[in-house]
Amino acid sequence: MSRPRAFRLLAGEALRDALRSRVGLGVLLLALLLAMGADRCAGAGAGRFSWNGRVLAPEAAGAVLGPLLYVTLALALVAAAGLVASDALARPLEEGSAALWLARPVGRSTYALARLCGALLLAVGAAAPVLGFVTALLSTRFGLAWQPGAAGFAVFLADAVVVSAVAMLVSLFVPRLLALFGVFLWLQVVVFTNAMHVLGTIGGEGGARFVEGYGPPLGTALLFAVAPWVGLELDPHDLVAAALRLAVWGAGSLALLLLAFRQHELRSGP
Amino acid sequence: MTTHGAIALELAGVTRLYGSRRALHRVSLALPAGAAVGLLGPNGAGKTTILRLALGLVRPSGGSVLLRGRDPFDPRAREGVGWLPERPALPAQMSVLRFLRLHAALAGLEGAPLERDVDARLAETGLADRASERLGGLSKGLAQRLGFAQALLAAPELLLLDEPTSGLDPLGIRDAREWISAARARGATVVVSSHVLTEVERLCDHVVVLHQGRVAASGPLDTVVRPGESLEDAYVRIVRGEAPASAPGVAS
Repeated sequence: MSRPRAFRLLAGEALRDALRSRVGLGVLLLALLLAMGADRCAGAGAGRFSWNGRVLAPEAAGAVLGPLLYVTLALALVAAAGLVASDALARPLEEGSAALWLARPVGRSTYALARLCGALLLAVGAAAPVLGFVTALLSTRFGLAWQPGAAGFAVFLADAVVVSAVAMLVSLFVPRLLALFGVFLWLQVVVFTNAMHVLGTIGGEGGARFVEGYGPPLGTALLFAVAPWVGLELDPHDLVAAALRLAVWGAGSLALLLLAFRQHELRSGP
Repeated sequence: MTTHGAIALELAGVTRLYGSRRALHRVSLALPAGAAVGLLGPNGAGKTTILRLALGLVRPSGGSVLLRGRDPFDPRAREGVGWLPERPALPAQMSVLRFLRLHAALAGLEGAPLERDVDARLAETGLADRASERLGGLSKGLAQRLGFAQALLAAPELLLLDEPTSGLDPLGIRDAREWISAARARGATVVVSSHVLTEVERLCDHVVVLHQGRVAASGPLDTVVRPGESLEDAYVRIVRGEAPASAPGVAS
């Protein structure tokens, strides 16, 4: 059978699996709660923000609230994508059902990519309405442009690919819960470092500079995407560097996942 | 189609380690296409490991494995191969029908032939009225029947069966015998790993006896079993270390 057909069939099944799992349901519930929370946060409309007794214009209030809200939600949804992915390949391997599919003329890469794709489809399906909703809220209540929201969604997709591939990769080597904990910790370190760097508070040498210099710019790229809301002028070199580094991390994490899964042995199960 | 004289599965000096435990030690086998081969041996002798190596699920620590002339890791090597694991791990939430349709599609079927084959396997294995049931709700015996149904999809040229009668009731065992005989009758190569020696004696024309990860005996049934002996007598004799038998046909 052709590789695209096998991929399509297995990715569809992976999506169904994710939707039926407790993890998948949890992510959908999280998305709903985030959307409701965003509505409450952005519910503070025009004329309600004041600074030293002066009422702020909606755009000025939105310039503070918008990026903060959008980036926080996007990162929560990136973490949720990692959660789904850490389960998507590890569970069928642990249960043994993966062996039955892989005994068919299906390549390891096709199977792993299909599982990743199924997990990503669920995460993106949950994230798209939330981030779209937030962008619409910010646009209608604070008069912010919708384009940074769209750019932010594109960055979310890239971030989700990186984090999901890393989560799936780690889940091949350690128990699912440990993989999840490790990926969340890594995500927090990267995002905190990114935020500190963008705010200009990273200086000197050390681990933070290393993470910022070589780690995936998960938070940086999101902040860059929504920077127009703050009215921040960005150096084009910084934009290109962040985009390139994110692309390299995306391709690298996928390549490592496929390489690791090709070497993975299916000893347990049936 | 099966090529006369071809080798369905070949292991050349295969060693397989699990940590410090040696599951297989320099095993060489060549299972001829069209044969029905019984893989025998005590628990832990390496029978299941051979089937997993054949399917590319695990890799040899040393030596090489060829499945129908190809590296089992190459998906093309697994075209036309049906596998029944010892305890089929079925995705609990999936329905019987969906499970079989997906396997049939991955085996290369589509459209009307896929539907016909799935319907035929459901009817053959007595699962037609359970097509909509979730796999998680199936009893052990029904799960084994379903395992057979998926293994028999798309008329495989090579059938790898690991303890095929495990969990089946006497009627199921009889059905399983018929399914295997039917596969043989259409020219499929059948490899059966089993502890039920009477079944192997009835279904297979070649045997391989493994003991402590090595081939203790192999060849056509009538060369491994001495005149006046049953397969059980021969098995006990071989495993206890008396004169090993080896003959052409299943080279070791």
